[in-house]
Amino acid sequence: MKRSSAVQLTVVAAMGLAARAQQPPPDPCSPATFNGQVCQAAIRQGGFCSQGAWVPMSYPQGYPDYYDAYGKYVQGGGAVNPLQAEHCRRPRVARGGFGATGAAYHSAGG
Amino acid sequence: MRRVASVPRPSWQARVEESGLIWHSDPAAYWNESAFYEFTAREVEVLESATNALAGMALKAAQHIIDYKLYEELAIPACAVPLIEASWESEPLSLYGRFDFAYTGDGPPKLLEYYADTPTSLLEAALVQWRWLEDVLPRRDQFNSIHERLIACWKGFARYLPDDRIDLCSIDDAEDGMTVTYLMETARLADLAASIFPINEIGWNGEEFIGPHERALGAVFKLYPWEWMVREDFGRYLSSAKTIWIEPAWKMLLSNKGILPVLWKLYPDHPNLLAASFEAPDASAKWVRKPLLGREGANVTLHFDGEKVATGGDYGKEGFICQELAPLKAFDCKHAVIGSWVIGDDENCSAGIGIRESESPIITNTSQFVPHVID
Repeated sequence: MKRSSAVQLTVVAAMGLAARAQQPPPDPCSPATFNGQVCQAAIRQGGFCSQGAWVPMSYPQGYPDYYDAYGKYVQGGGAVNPLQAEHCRRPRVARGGFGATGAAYHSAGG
Repeated sequence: MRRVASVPRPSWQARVEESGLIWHSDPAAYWNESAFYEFTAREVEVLESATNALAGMALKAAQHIIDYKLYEELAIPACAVPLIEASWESEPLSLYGRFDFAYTGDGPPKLLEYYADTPTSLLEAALVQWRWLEDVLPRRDQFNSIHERLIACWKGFARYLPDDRIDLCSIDDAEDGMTVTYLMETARLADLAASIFPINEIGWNGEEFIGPHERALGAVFKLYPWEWMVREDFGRYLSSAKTIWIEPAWKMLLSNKGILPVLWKLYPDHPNLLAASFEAPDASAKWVRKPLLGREGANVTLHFDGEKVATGGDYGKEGFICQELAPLKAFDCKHAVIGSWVIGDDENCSAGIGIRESESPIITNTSQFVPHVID
């Protein structure tokens, strides 16, 4: 039989490690790279521009929370290298590309 | 195996709703605790053994379909083949499935079909019938480790899921929504971050699938059939996106009723299989016609003794398979089908059962769920 749990673990583990190995881009709402204007825009727009590319980002808290965290970081002597404002094209997000068939049925389960 | 009359708990509706079963009576009576099924320990061993054996046989059947490229027989579109083969090669994560058996306690369980991609009735099998047991017959046991196995399975998945996170989605329906809500809870109990949303809120930003909050979707459990996904607008992006999908695309082979003739060809006369083919048998046989991509007993036709019993529905345009009629015994005028759950993909993946019964010999989405105990 071809399927082998040992192979599965190796392959998927490699995928997981690769995902973790990517460094996240600097975030305008993180204390060490805080930029108030860019942070507010990022919260509003669900992302920001970094090195010419749009970085989608979800912010569960409001701007004051990030500002407070930044203030505490600075008070504690933390160094800040603010993320510079950049302009880039925000990718247009299409939605609704899954679900059309299921809408016609009572359930997609069985 | 026997059916035993039982007095429903006072306020049983509230009790099952506490477990999330909100569709117990509407649009039709679904949860039925005015009876339960009782199995001997030996009967449970038979069901467990058959489930484990069939899980292994199904994987071999999938390999056979891929090796001989039997996609056309299963009405699998050409655009889905690379997805299936890539997912088979990479052997991704598989959470669950449900074999439906005809079983009466006499003779071996016979496989009716395999819901390998989007099985439901999970909540009632894993949780609701267990709480019924605790309330009504607390000293008895049940063939049911589904809940614990789901949590263990998620724990095993954790190291492969980006950011230790799983997003779950379904259509906006009470049963499907509660099923993914329950699965979300089991994922959280396994210390994963998890959220749910309707599947039509998935977005595509030109590079990757994203969730409702603009977050890239690293891993998604979807209670939505692959045969629908590959044919919809976003199906074209599935091969280029990095998202890990649970269940994986190769489950499309096993959830297709075409797996039944393939199994019969590979394992003729196996005690847990019914004869099945892509062609109709001769007129004297007792047989059942099922749509390749059908679910919940829709568009099924029974042929026996010159008579036909059929259900309606919207399935069947992709074609049908024919299967020998299972030997069914009525318990108190009810026909029972055993849903035998598979959690994970190891050799001992059999995790428990749920039972649905109906006066009709065809179990449909209106058939009732009845709890069980071990003698």
